[in-house]
Amino acid sequence: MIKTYGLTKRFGDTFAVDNLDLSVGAGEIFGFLGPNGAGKTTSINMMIGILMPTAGRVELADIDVAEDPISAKSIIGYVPDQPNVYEKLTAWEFLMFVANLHEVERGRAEKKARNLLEMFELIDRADEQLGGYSHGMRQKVVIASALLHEPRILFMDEPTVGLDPTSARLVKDILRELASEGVTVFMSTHILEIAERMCDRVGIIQKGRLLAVGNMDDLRQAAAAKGAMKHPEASTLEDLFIELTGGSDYAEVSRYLEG
Amino acid sequence: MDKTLLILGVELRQAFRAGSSAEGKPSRVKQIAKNIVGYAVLLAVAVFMGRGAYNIAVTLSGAFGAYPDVVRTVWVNLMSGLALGVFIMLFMTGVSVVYQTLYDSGDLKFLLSTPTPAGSVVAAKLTVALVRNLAAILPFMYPVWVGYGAGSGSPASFYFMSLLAILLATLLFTAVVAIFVMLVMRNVPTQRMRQIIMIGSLAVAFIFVVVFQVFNAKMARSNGLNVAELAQTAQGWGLGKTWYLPHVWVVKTALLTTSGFGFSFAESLLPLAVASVGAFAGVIGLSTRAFLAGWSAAGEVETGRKRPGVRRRRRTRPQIRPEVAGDDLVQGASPTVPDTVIRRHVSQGWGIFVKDLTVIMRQPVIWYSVLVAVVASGFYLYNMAYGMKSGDAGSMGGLVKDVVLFILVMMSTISSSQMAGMCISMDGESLWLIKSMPVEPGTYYNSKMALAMLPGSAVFTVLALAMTFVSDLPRYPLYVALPVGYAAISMLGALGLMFDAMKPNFSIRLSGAGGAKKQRDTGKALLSVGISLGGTFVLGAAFAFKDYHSSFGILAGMDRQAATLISVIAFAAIVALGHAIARSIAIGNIKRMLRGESN
Repeated sequence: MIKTYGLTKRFGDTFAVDNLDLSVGAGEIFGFLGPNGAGKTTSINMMIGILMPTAGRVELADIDVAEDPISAKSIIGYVPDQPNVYEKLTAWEFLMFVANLHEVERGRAEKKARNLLEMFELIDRADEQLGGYSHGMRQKVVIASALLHEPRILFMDEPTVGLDPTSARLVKDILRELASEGVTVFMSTHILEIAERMCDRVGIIQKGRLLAVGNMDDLRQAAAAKGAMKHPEASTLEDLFIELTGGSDYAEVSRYLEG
Repeated sequence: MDKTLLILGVELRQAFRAGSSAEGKPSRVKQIAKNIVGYAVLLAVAVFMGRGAYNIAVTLSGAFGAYPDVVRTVWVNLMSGLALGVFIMLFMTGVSVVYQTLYDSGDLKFLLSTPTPAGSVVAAKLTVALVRNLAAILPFMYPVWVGYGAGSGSPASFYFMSLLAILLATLLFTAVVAIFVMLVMRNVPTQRMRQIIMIGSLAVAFIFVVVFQVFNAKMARSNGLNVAELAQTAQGWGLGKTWYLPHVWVVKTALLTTSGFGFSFAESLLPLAVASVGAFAGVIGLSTRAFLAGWSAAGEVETGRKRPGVRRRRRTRPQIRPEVAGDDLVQGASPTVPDTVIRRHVSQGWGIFVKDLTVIMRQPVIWYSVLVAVVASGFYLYNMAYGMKSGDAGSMGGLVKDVVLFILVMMSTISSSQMAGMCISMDGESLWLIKSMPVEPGTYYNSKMALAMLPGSAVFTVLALAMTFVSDLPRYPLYVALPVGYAAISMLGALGLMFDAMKPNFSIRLSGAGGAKKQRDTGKALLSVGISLGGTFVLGAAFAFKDYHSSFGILAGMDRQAATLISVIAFAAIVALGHAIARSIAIGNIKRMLRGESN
């Protein structure tokens, strides 16, 4: 459903994303992990067609994003890392605006929006301007807007940041439900517990390069191949992540903290 | 004090770096070139205004050379008018500047979380507001004073004293407004009420504008620069005698070192300086009690009115509903949610247009701007309608019709072009949404074009109708005036939109009490006005060709009908060409922007 071929983005002399080859199947929940500045958001922006790659290409459901961005964008839902919204619109107006952009039939859009707002417990505040919403509430509205047109692929950049535990749990439930119905979910996250428990596969990126990709077993094998871990078979995703992305630095920090 | 200077140092560094680019040498060179052009335009405007003032001063001195007392009286009163102008200009922009700097700066959260006294933070921010206010008025006000000084042979010290007077006047205004804003933010409980009070204060400025326009109307009807009438009118104001008003202190401070006027230190610089510095100290003193509470309140946003249709319900735990991704949408009774105009039609263009309109209409300052534009236009119309009777036009009746029509176009396009110049920029930080949606660049352009045209067309319609009913000036019938006006407004709007597409400024946020973090782009505002004036002139010249062609020897014998045909074709061709170029360039840029090829 998502395929990238040699996806590269260079800013000046810096490679934000370097030759990324990925393939994510239908109905799969894919976790995209990496330290700050690793290139996660840049990769997602290229995949959804809002950032032109320096090289390489992206296919979403066999649609080349660069060649036919309109078709590609019509099948995706996107939740950015910052829920920047039109502060002078109400939540309801915002959802109806998004429905308009996706040309969703009116009655269907209204029912869907109502259900989503109700589910996120925002229905009582649907006619308040978004400027008055907290970060978490805006995040919920943005997630609702991404689901409104029933996308086939959902891109989520740190979807649970700012959400209260109940809402975070709800989002996780929604993602599982969507995946079971064949929707592909591509999400970046720093919360490794979410990635470990929810994702079918995980990709770890650092300095723009994909270090490892696969399920937990695949990652353990990758870490074992690196040879630094004593018991990779018993390691958590956190252990694997630290090992793969900078174990030596972490060890130094630990030594420093221990005095 | 140290911390205030520290914060100011950072502000200064940021201000300098705001004009530079981190993207390498070519961008830096381009930026420097743009800055130079901007300063050159500003300098040209300053020279133009200064020269005008110089001419008036020379004319006055020449006309009343034998009566130095009369010259001095007129001089004081005109200067009073100018000083009042300083405060009027400050009222126009200064309130929102002070509010934004004090309560909307992005770094306040950080600064207030450090062990820095609120007074130091406020002192630094107030200084920034002072500089911003000064920068807004100085290029337009000081040259006029310099022109007067040069034209009347004032001593060198006059230039320093007038600069000092403007500086102190700005400080006084900034500090008084800061006290006012601080008290409002601290003591008024709701955001809505705070907005009302802010707008109320702008309404005071509005009244000033009205008074100023009445004066303009009076002056405009005095048959040009009749110095005797001017002197009489100026003397009649008696502004110089009202010793207790700040603008009078400003005038007397500026003229303190100029011989012959006999103003004392105690009635000029002393009250101005004491009031300014005292108000500044008052702000700092008040800030320790009122600033933090007011700033916290600034973050509040009104809770919406609960409409009857929205039923409140409590649930123990949100449940995922099967219809989230699926088709089963009807499940039980759902609360009703208000209808919205955005959903009247399902189309992308309509959606974007109505969204923009909704956002704009919820900006209180926008309504204030509309109010000022309508009143200014009304008085302008009044001046035109009663300043010249139809009989005055004589054989130039045709040309008068063109002038009247295109003055209305110009006044309308100024508001239209400003809107066009920020149509795309206004999507700001929310642009990610449009970028990630399946929106064609042409659709986006069309909806923005509709928005760009809307204010200008509305103002033009009102003006054209008003002109029809209140004036007996020669004018085109509405069935000619309206299409011509709309065509001109649309083309000039398209050019403004094109420039915004070429260089959008997504750091712009619409100004308004409570919602803005950055001011409008001054460079773009100037460009918009330039487009309005220049474009209107070109279009007007093309359309009026039929009425002035006979002035050119080689074309004198041209048949009237042929000349009319040429006029219409030339006008239509310019409009069509302007649209074609603007559309092509704008859509190309929008396409690159939506695909992430440009930022």
